[in-house]
Amino acid sequence: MRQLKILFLLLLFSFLTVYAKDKLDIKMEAHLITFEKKGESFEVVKKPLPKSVKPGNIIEYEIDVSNPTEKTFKNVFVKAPIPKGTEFIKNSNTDGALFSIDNGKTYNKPPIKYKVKDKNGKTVEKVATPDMYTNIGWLIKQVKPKEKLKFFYWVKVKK
Amino acid sequence: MYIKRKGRVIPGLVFSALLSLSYVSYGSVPAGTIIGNAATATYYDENNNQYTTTSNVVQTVVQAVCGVDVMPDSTLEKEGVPGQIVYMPFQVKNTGNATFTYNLSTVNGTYTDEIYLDENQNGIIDPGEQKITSLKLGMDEIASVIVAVHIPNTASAGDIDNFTLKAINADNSDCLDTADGKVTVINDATFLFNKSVDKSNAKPGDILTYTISFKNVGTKDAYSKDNYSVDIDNDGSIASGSEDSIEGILVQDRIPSGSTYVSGSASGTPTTNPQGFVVYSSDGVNWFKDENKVSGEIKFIGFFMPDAHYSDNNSEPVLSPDQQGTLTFKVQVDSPFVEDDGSIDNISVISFSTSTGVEKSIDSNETHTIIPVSSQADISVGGNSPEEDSGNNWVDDNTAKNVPAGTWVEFRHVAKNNSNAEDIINLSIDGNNTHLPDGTIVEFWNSDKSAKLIDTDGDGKVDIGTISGNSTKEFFVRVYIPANTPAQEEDGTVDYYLTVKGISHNNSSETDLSRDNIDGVIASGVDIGKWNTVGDDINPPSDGNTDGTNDNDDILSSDNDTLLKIIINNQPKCEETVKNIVDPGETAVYPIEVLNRGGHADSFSLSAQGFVGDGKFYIDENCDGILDREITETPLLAGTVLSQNAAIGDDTIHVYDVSGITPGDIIYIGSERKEVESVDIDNKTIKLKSGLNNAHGEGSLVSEAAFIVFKVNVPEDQEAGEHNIVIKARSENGNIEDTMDAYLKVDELNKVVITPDASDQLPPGGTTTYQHLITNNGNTPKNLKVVVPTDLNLTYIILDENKNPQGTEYTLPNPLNPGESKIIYVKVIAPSDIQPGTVETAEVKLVDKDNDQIVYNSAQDTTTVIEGFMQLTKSVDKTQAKPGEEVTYTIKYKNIGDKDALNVIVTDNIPNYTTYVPNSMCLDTNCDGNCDTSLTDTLGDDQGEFDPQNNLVKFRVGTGADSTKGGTVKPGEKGCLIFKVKIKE
Repeated sequence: MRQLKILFLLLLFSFLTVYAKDKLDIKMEAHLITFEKKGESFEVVKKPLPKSVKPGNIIEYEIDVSNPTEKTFKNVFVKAPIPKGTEFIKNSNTDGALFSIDNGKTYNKPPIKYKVKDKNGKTVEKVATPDMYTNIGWLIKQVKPKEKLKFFYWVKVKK
Repeated sequence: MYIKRKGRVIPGLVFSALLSLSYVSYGSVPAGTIIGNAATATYYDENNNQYTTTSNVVQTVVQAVCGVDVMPDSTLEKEGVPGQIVYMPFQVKNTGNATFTYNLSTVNGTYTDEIYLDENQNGIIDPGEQKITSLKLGMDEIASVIVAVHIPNTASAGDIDNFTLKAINADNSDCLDTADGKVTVINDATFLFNKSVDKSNAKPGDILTYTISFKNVGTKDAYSKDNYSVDIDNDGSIASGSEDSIEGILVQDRIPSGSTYVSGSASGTPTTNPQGFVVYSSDGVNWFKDENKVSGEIKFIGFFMPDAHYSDNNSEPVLSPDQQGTLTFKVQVDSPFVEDDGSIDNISVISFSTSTGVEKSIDSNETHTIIPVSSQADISVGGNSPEEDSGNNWVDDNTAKNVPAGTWVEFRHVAKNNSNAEDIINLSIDGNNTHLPDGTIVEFWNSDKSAKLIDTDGDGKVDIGTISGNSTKEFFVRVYIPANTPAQEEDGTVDYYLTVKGISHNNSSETDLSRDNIDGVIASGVDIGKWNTVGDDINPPSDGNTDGTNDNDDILSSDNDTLLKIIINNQPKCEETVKNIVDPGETAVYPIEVLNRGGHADSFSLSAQGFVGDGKFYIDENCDGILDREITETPLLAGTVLSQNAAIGDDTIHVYDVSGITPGDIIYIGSERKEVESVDIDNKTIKLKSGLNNAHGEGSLVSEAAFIVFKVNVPEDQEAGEHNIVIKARSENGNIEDTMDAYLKVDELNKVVITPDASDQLPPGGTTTYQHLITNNGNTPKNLKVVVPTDLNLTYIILDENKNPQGTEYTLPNPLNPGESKIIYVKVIAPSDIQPGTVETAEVKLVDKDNDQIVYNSAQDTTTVIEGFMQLTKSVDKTQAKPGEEVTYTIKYKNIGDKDALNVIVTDNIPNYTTYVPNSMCLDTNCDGNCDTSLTDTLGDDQGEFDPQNNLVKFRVGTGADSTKGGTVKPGEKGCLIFKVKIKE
């Protein structure tokens, strides 16, 4: 039993205990996005993510990457899933992002093509729609000491 | 709202009856669902060490949202005759994301009606089925209800009853939906047409039996319809004219998706009056009496009732009022069952003509057979067809061999969802079947090892995420073996193991296990030794000496002045000369190599003891012969093992980890040393600058070496002696270390001196005494003897420090220690008959007490025998001067005889490269360094003058001296004369 407890704790805290220093710091925040009418146009309003959301709500995920070390890190690939129960929707901040339609196995720039067999058994190529995205990622050539980066993406709670 | 329907022949006119059932939702998000998210970054540092960082997890919960849909969306229309109860089938679906209760009612209708729950969905009200006023539905659940409309006996053909069925959420009156119904009274043929299935729930592979009943409940005969293509002569083909346009009533049914017709299972009635028969079709157009004569798969089943003259193109009566019949057939549920909605749905259609020649088709109710989710979790390894363990049989287990301590070992797993519905497979470690070293870390990672798995369904357990039915998903278990784990041999016996448990989210009792084994652990290790001695199997630690035993890695006395070379590709990469026999003040040099033998990246602290003076370690990082910096610890030295066998000549090796390995590094594969040309991070391969000279098996160590020089600065005053230096490399990972011995000899340094050289003048019969200082500047005490010559013209006698005569040889009474000094004197006596002008130099030797042949040092005493009595001694105020600078000369004169010296004139030449400083001549009577009487440079006005023609100065001294003659100097009298010169520029 003691061994089991140790394992459990290690599973929980392994990351902190093993790699607590000399690494990038990565934080995620989430916001609820609403659109408020201002005259003839709508204004995007960000609020802290409430404890509960409704189907159809839009959530913005903000990823903050900072390099507290004196090292320069290269080929930094920041990635996050489109959570279960949500679907990706495009906003202006995802230009340049890479997307996966296979749960993070492969990432590509849109349009992402995939092949399926039609009813006649013929293989046809299709372009994935944003609601098919399962993961999003950003590839950065290098992150210098003390450098800070931000990434955003929006998802909608499925109805 | 859209419901996917299958087995339907004609797009919906009406639903005659419905069953109540539940669907599994695929689009909506249930209330209470936790939406969790975390970001991950993977990256590399300049040494290609890979890192992964995962962010915090953010979560929110999905709220309950009401929604209801009453179907069909279009008006449901049915016909009936006066006095008939018409069954109007509707469906009510909870489109919200939680369980809600909906109140049901009808409004606007003029005929009496009641609402029933059609539990078996056969479209009619069966015994036991109850009237209802409300429904409690789970998310996406659909209930079939029947509105039973009573047509009054007094109704006339053409009367219409319009009503609306309304469903309102019991707690939220804003959440409602309605559907309309229309009953038209006729005076003609119409059918009570319903369909049933024997199973409302079934498993893949089960047989379903469908029974379709039809009865003319109208007031008149039902007539035949034209233009059916039926192989009525059963010859296997449909003849033009006689068979492609015949008349009759057809009851037909499309074999529903997710099932296959069971051959020979169809039958029907009536077979006489009319002479009905079962027909089969692959396309719903061409029908055959014999199922074996259908070309292709049977997709449609029908019961055809021809009229009396079926090929005359005239519609004739077929079924009279109250006449009825049936059609029965069987299908088998597909296995695996892959229908998205988890249900087999089916509708039948009967087509006929009324007595007035109007062609009509009536749909039956739709039957639904649910194929329940049969979720199973099955964890396996090594392939895409994991076996579902019925017990702990450990099939498909992983075994990793020779795992280096201090590293992560990865086990690939495939999780398979054997059910026909989406599931989430939770993962955990089965502690009862796990044995790992203390401090082991276990993590679950996704298929591309880019992110750790998290809890996606909010149940507190890590999971692999959603996995579709009958599909697989890969994941990895990463296990960190602590660096201090002791070595274990790879011997076919499992040393450590852990058991991964997969648990179905849909059915927590459905679990599966898989075990990951470790056979053999490579403990942390280090090898330190003289250049070119590490990496082999002979690695003795320090034995405290370099006597020739256990000295394979040691630096011996015989290595002194040996040039060591690191040879790569037959070329020296860097070189260094051993220097371990040195004089005090010199630097000893020890080229040592530190090799990581732990199979994982590690750094090693360096220390040494037993040396004298100041010892420091320096590293030549790229082995270019230039020491880059002082270190007390090696850089992180890469370490891994071969993941594949490597053959002779291979210039690319496959390893488990390339962290820390960069082009230009010097690595050992086993005991073979190579230089790295390039590294492929993705494929974990290392390209070498030259092919291997030996074969190396999977699991062989691949290690990085550091080339280090240990330098010892021996103090100037270090005593001679031999020393054994123990040099240590140590890793805090597992407290492992290795030591070696290095020989150091500090040579004896003979630096005893006797100073200064001395000189003097004396007349015949006179004496003088020279003082000497004997000093030991070496590193050992010395027993010394002073010797003066005995065979010269003058006589030399040694005096001790107290000026006691000691003869011509004098042994110092005690050894003279390093840094100690002693004074002695040498007295010189000139015989009275010696010729004036004799100049004699005597060598005062400092020799070994016991061996006069060992001469450590000597001083030269030069004595000049002069005529008369006057002694002149000349001195200068500077021993070094720059051009343009002035120097002052002082000439001391003294009568050392016993008679008066008469007409004493002192003359001195101005030295070469100098010029006389005008008016610098003076008399210093008491020799205190200060001029007492200044003299002009001019001849004839005082006791001295400068003669520019002969470039000399002349002084007339003594009592009575004037501008023309010298004076008298009595015995013992003395005085000093001063003049200056300037160094020419």
